[in-house]
Amino acid sequence: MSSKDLRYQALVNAFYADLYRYAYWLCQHKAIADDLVQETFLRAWKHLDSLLDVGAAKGWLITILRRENARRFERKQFDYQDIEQDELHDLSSASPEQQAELSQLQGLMLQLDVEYREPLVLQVLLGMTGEEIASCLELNLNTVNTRLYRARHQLRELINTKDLEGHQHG
Amino acid sequence: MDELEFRRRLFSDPSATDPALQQSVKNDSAKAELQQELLQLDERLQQALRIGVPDDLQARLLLQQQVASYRQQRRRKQWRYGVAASIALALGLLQLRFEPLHFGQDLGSYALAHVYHEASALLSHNTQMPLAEVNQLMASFAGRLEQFDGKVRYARFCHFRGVRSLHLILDSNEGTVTVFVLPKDHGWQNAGAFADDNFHGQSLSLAGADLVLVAARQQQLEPLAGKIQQQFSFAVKQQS
Repeated sequence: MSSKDLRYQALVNAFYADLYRYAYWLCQHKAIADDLVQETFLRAWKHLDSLLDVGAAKGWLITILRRENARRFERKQFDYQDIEQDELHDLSSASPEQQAELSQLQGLMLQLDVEYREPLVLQVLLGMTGEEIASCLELNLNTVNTRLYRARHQLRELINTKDLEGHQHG
Repeated sequence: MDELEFRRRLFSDPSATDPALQQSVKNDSAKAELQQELLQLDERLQQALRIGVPDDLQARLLLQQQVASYRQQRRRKQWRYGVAASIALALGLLQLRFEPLHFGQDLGSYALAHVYHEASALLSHNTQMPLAEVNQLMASFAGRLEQFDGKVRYARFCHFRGVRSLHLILDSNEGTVTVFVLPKDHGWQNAGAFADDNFHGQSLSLAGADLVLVAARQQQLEPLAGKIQQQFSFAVKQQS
């Protein structure tokens, strides 16, 4: 097996799960997320020689995936209404109350605009710094920080509204 | 640091460790409480974002690379043994005069190989997929399934040797059938009818896409093909 094969496999093993999750939160559709990850790794394989710094791999893959996602919109505009949120959750280890809460949080995340949701996912799920997010999204650091601020702010308000509704009905 | 700046920094990264932020938290219990609340929110958020990943995704990604790697090697060899290859080609062409075309794989044998490869999908996916979700995938081929009296129990993009196709498994009164939807420009020779010991199939050329149907040997394909032809529609791409 060539060293290129080994590098590719290491890349898949290290990042496929996070990349799939990121893709899902970006496009909100499981099958499309699956397809985006396949396309991303196919492209990554073809251009593996251009990845010189292993530390940059995560950002590199995310950049490829974002481009693939943009290409999808050039091909066809999808209609995102009526998406069912079935089988989304990998919450098997949580208690029923926790599951309900996390499931609610997942629903609220989908209500955020993608421009706020995306940096938040990159920060919380993929552990990227503000600078890394800025370079992936081609934004300046201030803009990224503002979006992160607004994302948490909106999320917190949505949670409080839900809690209030819960109390009123409960 | 004023209140506004504090909130800006805290909300953009609750686990930031910069000293000014830590100092503000230390001196103000309300601020400390807010920081705790946001840290907890991040923790729950992290759990919520970790959605389930398809079991076979990792295996498919590794397989895809092996295929790509094989093709690349083959290309390299073809270049290196260019002269030898052209001699072989000349010999091959000579031989062709005496033998019918059967080298390479046509769409049919590749479809069969695919069905075997995903045999587990035939058996295991038994849930009904909502038509709206199927149509989101069909949209990539400018296609629509208005209604289907039966159920769609599997729909996923797959790669037919580099050609992006949609793999569907349909159940209806006429039986179970696997359908591959390919764009018109897939570049394969159409298969016509084909069969092996277990399955048989046929390709179906519609105006906007090509379909390949595969079903169990004992099952009749004609009624299924008729039904599919009626219920699938594809926009015809304008030639520019």
